[in-house]
Amino acid sequence: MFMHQHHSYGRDSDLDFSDSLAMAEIFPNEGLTLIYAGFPKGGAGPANSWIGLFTGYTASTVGTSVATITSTWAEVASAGAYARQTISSASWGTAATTQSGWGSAAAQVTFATATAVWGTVNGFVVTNSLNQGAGVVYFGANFDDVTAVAVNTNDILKITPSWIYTG
Amino acid sequence: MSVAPWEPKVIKGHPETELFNEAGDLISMLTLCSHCESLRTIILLVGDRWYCSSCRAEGSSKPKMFPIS
Repeated sequence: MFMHQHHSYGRDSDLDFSDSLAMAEIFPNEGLTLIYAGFPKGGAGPANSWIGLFTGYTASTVGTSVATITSTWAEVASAGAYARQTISSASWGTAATTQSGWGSAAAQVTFATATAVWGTVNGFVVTNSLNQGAGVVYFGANFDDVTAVAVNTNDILKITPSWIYTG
Repeated sequence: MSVAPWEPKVIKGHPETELFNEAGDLISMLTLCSHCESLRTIILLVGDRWYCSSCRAEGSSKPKMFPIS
């Protein structure tokens, strides 16, 4: 247990987003293919992945197992300084028990200041491509507070990539 | 000439928590909501403070109250 100036916390609870009951998340088939490639097939995982923001669905729903980035995720348009951000595989923290599964988070990523309205964002996707609207979606999730975020000009936002495996 | 070690940009006094890897090494500091001090998947910058959606909304819609003499 570590002590902080304002509060105390332990590692297991640091990354627990599961107090949010209504958020949805999914590894679509594209993401499950990558997981299968690692185990049992023994393939190496990617060194980097890229995080983007989607406007499709709702603040509490995400795509189905067959959803693709070019279909219904509806990523924020490549305008107003929007661009996907890189997540290094080395930036993922240790997995730990959460209230709803075995979870992990990565170092936070900060998006560039919006220079135009990005629209109402319902969550994030983790992909295999730097390019907006392209590539494979490994994972998609709503924000853990189940609240859509209207991103307007001059807004700056920071995302904590995270997911939970359930047994 | 020595090179100064890299240090992450931090906001002094802002609540944070540590992110460790499997070896117990510190990977990064995670910024928490400045008001409720929760770790959220999305936080937004207001001035020099980061807020979660809920706390940011509360802050922007707070009524302006003036003393009545």
